[in-house]
Amino acid sequence: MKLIFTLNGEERSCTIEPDEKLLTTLRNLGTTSPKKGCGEGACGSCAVLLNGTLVNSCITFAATCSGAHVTTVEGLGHPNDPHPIQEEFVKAGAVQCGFCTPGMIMATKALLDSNPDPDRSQIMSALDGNRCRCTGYVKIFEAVGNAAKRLSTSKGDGGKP
Amino acid sequence: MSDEMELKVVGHSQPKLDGLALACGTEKYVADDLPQGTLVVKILWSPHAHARIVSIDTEAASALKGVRAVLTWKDLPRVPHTTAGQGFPEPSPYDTFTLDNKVRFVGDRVAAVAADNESIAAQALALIDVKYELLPAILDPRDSMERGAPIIHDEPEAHVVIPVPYDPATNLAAACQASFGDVEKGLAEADFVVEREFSTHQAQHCPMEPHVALAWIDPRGRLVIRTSTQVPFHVRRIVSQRLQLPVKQVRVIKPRIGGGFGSKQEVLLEDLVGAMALKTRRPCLLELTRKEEFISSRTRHPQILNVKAGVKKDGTLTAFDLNILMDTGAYGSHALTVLSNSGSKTLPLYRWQNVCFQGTTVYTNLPVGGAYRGYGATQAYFPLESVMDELAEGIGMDPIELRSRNHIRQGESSPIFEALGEGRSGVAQAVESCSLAKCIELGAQEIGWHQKRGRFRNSTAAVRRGVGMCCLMQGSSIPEIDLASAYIKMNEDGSFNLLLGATDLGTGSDTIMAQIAAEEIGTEPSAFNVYSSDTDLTPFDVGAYASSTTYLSGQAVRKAAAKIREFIILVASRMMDVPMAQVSVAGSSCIGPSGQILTFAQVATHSLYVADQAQIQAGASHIAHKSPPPFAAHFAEVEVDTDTGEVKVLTYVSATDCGTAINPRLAQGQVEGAVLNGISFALTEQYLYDQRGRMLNPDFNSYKVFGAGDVPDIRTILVPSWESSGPFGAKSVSEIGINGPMPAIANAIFDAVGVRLTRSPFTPETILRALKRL
Amino acid sequence: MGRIQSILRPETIAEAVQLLRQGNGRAAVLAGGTSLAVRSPANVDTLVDISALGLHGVAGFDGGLSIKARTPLAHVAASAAAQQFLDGVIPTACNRVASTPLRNMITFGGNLFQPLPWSDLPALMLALNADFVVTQEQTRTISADTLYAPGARSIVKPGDILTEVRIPAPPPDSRAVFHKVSRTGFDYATLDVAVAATMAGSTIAACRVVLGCVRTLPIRVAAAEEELIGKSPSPQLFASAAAKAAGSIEPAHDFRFSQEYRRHLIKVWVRRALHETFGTSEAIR
Repeated sequence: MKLIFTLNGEERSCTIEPDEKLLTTLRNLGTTSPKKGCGEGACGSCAVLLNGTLVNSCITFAATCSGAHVTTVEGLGHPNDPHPIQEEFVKAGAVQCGFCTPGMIMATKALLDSNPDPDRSQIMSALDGNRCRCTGYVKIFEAVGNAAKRLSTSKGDGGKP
Repeated sequence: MSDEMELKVVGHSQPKLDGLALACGTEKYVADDLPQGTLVVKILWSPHAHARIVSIDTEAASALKGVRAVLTWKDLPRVPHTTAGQGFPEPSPYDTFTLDNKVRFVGDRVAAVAADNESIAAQALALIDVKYELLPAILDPRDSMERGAPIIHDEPEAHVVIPVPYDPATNLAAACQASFGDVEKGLAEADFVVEREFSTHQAQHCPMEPHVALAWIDPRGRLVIRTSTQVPFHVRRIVSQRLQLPVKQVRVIKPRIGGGFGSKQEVLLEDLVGAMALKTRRPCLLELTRKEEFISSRTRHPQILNVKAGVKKDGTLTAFDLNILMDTGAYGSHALTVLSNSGSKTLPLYRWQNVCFQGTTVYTNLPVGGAYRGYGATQAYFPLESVMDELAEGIGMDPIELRSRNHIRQGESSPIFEALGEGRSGVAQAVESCSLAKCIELGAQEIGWHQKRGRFRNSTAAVRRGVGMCCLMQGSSIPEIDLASAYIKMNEDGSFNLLLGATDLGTGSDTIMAQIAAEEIGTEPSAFNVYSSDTDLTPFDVGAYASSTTYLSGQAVRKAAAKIREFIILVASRMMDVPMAQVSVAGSSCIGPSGQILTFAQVATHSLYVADQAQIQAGASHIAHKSPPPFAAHFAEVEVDTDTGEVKVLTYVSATDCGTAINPRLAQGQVEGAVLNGISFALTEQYLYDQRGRMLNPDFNSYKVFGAGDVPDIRTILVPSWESSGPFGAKSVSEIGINGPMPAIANAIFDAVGVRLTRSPFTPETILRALKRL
Repeated sequence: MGRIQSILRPETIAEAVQLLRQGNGRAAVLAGGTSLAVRSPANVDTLVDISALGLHGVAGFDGGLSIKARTPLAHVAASAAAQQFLDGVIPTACNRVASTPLRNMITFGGNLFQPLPWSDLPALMLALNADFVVTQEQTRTISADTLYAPGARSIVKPGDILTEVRIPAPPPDSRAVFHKVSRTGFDYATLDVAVAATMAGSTIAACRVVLGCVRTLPIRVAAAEEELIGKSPSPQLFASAAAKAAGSIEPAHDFRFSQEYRRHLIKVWVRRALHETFGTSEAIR
């Protein structure tokens, strides 16, 4: 069947299997930042924003995404023009192997969109579905806190939303 | 400390060179970049713990539309090998075949298919008809060497290639021993003796990216494998051995990979996916599912450790006797070396007057042990540091005091260094750098040791707190055995290409190598394009294991960089027409005796195009002649709920001496990741089996790893020292952190509720039983 | 595992019911889909996506709480109406389910209607004796007592769609507590305990004590309830009710834990839940 949806701001059209998961669809379209870490919604490596809400794309039926807006890290920024969240993750040392990073950054985006000044326990809760085995999360929490400060001070001066 | 200098680049927290690309999703992992027409390879796994394959009928599977190849043991040459990614000749037994006519654990390989897509591959697997002759299985290592036990490796081909103990007829996979003095005498002289049996459990690395490999035949017929590996050069050698191809015909590339922690120090998938590519002449992708990662990749070897230790009232450690029974599962990868590391990385830490270490590794019909961060030390630190605590209590001495009096110091050695190697004899060494005393002092202060220790000893409250600590050492590389090399060439704009075999699994080694090279040459890390781990394009490196990347590979990089610096000075001196000795380098420029300045770009352009043309380039190799230990002191504060058995880690402090931290933030990241992994290993991770040896919990929902919602207050202190044999004073940091949590938490639990745990993990049920509440 | 051949998205409830009935047992409701995406029943080949049916929203009514069935747990937890109801016990329970992205996907109705053995919310709804509004051709209301009675599979008929969960207004001086025991934060429950009680002066007029994730369905602990009703709260009473709970419920086999341990936890956590229930200083209307 045919699926038409918006991916990182661009309309995309593709053919999907009925039981295909959004993760497979995205990766088949060349958007490979969402990863398959477990295939059952237990690790968050596949996490993307679906209509602004954080979901596990490996257990989202692509067929239910008709007309939806999907955002991944490719839509947030590029090495030549990164999003503040991406920069803060790198500066804090929150990126080691990087496999969890796209999902982690989308979880951070979802958090800061709804709560621009989260405390540590809110950060922990917002990221509780994103597993990382490399960092122990310490630098990740630091990165989220730094990103929150940076985004709130840059509001109104043309910074990325 | 000699040879210290003002470091401009090393010692700074340079952001990772690939960090932004990873955060923006532009870097590619193995499965992100597939050639057109890539086939999906799937494996049929054994449902039985021990069985012969009597017949295997693949006709129906092969006939299914979209199936391009089906392989069984009949289709491949029978080449015994080890999957362990170790230097040649490997100390692990050659007891594995790519596909065999016998299965030795639930999850062992039976057959493989390559098909157009995953769905067809799965259907094909279901069509393979296998008849098994069931054999009795061994599910407990204590049964492995009993008389009449079934022989797991009864094939005639199983053998070892270096002279080490190995007797598959009795299920003996490895053995080692080392001793000095007379432990019985030492125990008799002691004022207080502890004798206990400990056990540590099986666990999985849980890299976020499961094992995955892609293979294809290039236009000239060479086999190319792009794989998630820690050991590209060992992969090349072992694949060429297994598929009977010359090494020249095989190329192995490691792209970005999603973690390893030792699980990928193993040649697990590459032979099979390579065989499929050769058979089908199509690119083939083999990706383990998470369930397959748990069951059919590698695990931490479980151990049963018997300890006897003695101490005198004045704190003299008179004897330490350690006897280990290790379970390697169905195959012997790392069976000897994990065992010997249990002794070599623990016994030198304290000045025991008499030591006896013996270890035996046996086969069982269970999922296989392999390399896992800590590598035997993780297991042995639990009894060592628990017993140290108990000895201290026994003579009424503070546990920190007993350790402080007895730990190895700068300038000292231990007979163990020479006695225990990695399959060969070890290497004698004296400790040049050790700031362990400072680590203990700073860590104790940070956790509030003196205020908190013993506070709940007389409490009857349901919820009680305690603090516990431990000391640790590890090693840095495998001396006299492992090789690293690097190559640098200079581009006309003053930038460099640094090519090295060393494997970045996300640790940031590419970045710190650029820092080392930049420091040595006199330029910035941003001047480097770093390209690593391609067996065609980068020089040899054993790979990322044994905590060797910074210490060993880094020194190869420094040596190459030193030659580059000299070459640059040579060219500049000719350009300036002055003697080389009068030219200095700073800030990416050469400075002449009368202040004339030539930028690196000017020098390089001149050398490539203008006169005495030459490519400014250099390569270097390095082997280590010692394995200088990093040291650490860990402190845990826990809260124990005696009604529910729950243990909560409130605060965890580590103070680590890794020599010079080339990149402090990345070094902290290594410690923090290791610490949280260790905490989760101590408290919640475990393999659960049914009576037929089938793993019951091969997924994240039932195998519990600490998540973001579980993280305690983790505080990381780096305490410098200077190791002159390492690049700019550096030692290793990647493994040591994972060894602390189990003993530190066990000791903290004792402080809180007065029970000594000897079996891991410390689940609520374990605590309740120890408290006799169940 | 079943192979899904089609996913349909009706725009009215009547259409949805028709599609389910036409499926003849091979069609199932797709709400959050978090379980179906991993494992669909062998006979199911058609999913009926109910996201266009307007079954979304949380609102108070006459002191009670209405939650439309397809509302994601995160929305329930964030809603002011749910936070104000019984001291926010429903958001407390929702926030202990799974993880952040999963709470954005799992629906309130999906966690409750034909629940899986590890679903957490059924224990709380049974404690609150929630009503389940179910529609096929006609609309009917099924109480939690009925829906979760052992052997109740036949209560839900093919073609039924849960549209709403209604928790009646609690009597004055009522309170409710929910606790989930688990090994890590993001985990299936080792045990769920839900207690709902109403005081009459200083005695316990009504009380439900429910355990979740010890059997396939949540289970009321009659022995504990009988012990409590008509008496005044006290630590001794809680201890004896908890002991009776542990003695009367045989946990189903769970490969992760021993029976002994789970029975011990029942005793400890029923006692603690009772302390928490009756220790609140003020009843919430």
